[in-house]
Amino acid sequence: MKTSLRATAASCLGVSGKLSVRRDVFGYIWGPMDRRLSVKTHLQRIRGTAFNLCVFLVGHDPGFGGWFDQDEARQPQHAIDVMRELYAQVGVGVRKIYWRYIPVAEATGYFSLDGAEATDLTEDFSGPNDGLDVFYVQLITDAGGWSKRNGSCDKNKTGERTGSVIEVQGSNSTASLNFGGILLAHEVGHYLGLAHADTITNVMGSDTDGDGIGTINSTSVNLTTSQGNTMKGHCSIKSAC
Amino acid sequence: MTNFTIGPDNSGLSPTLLQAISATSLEVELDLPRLAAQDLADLKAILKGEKRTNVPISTKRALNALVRSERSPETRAITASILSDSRQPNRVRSLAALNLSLMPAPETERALIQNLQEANTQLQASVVRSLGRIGTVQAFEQLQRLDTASELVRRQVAFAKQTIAYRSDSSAPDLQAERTRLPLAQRDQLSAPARSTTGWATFSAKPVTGHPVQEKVRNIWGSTYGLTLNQTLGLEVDCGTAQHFLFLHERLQQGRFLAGLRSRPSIIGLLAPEPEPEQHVTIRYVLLANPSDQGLALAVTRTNGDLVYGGDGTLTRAGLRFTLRDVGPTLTPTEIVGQVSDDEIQLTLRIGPENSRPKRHGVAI
Ligand SMILES: [Zn+2]
Repeated sequence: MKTSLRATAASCLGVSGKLSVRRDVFGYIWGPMDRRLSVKTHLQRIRGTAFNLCVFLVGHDPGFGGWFDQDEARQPQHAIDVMRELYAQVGVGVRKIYWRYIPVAEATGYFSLDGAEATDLTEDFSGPNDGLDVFYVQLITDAGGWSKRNGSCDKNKTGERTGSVIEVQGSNSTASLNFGGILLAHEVGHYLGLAHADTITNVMGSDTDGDGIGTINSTSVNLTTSQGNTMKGHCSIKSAC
Repeated sequence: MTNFTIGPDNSGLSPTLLQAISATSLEVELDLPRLAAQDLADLKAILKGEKRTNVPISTKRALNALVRSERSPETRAITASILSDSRQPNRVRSLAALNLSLMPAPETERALIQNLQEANTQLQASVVRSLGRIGTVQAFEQLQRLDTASELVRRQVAFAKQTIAYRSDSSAPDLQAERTRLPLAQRDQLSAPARSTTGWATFSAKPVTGHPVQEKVRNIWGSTYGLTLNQTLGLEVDCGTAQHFLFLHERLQQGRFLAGLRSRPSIIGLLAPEPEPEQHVTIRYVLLANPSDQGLALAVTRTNGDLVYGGDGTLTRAGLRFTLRDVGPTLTPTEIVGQVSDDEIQLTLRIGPENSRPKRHGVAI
């Protein structure tokens, strides 16, 4: 087990030497949390077909002097844990987490955003090329989140959003935190190529009225094999390590 | 699989309303539910504190459902009371401030001005932002006096003062002075050096007339910055990787384009990305023009005030020739050249092959 942990950390995550399982292997940097996946299962997931994620806190400053308080900073981490569980259904792992923040001084145009401003945000900022960008913002005025469907792996691509933009949840109740995970899985699902589904119990929600808007709720937790195959075909997906 | 379901509601609200305002439900990419009469009445009662629910609701979603379903004095009063309610989270109050700009009226301006001295800078910035979209000379004077140490607020104040000045007919000296400072950035930024555009991709804007324009105007969600838009003419602008639509000020009508453009400093148009099918339109860029003896100065800003393109136009015998270049945070090197006569607007875009600037990457945690 130990050897396997070190070997996986080195070959999949590029981490060697003294390591913290929570921080270096799970990528959870914001205080203690209850993990859904055991270390063993997690190692299996990240060794298999997987992708990396770069999470931006837009308007954060060290010591929580910015727009994010401690609970809000922890939200994306909880959401990733939920997304890992949801994606495990179809054998897609979330391997390495890059954490970034945009200081308030650089984020002054991005406290509240509408759809067009979300495009401006991804035009201004990007993370490492080997991970999908997800921007957590304080207030989206007209939606819960956006993503390009089947998004580019070229972060310098112009004319489209090169990442997902998601609003932090208004509450830190377990129900809200879990819902935040579904929302993250939904948006990243779009980026990985998924369209809206036709049943509310699917992560990709239902668009039964065909208006292009997907509805999700706290029961939107399933993914199908075919959806998994679509995700595995995206350019950001890495092979086993 | 984890079961995230919350308990059933028995407060007598319809499933549609519950779906529209639940804290654990979303119409993800456009969360602006429209409600029928009874649901709307129930929602108002909830927001006024007269009716309780026993499932967690999102006040943010409730505010959006309200303003999407009805723009009335009552909607404005409810929204204004949430803005002023210090028990509400600042994020919710910020949305209330921004939603007020969808209902321009003297009462709206007063409600926003009453909240202008907010201690929370994010909320204060949202109030300023909203005032910039609908405010008049009253708001301008308040903003002129506003003292703040926050860069977030300062930036919004600068942009708000500019948009109010360009929209207002007032001849108050402070507003006139503001109009001469086009745009909020320095003038020298406007005259970016010419570059060789050999090998750049070229796109011509196409005029769109009639019903499709009306349709697009109707689909705009969010502020139109106080502009009454031309409902019969606009321009489709293809940038190769993305399509945009240019909405024009109502004053710019065929037969008097030039006169409309040169009559006074003003916001002359709004540029929006062409939405995905069936989705709403949100404005991305604001176009400002300031006439001079020789022609006019032009600036294009983002909706947060960042100057993106700048340039100027010169009067010739055939009309007005203008050139704009990217001077701000756009990723693509762009040159926009055009000619305006009273009867025609011609616009050509040249897009460079390489990105004009690197992206920023934030700070690693
Ligand atoms: Zn969706």
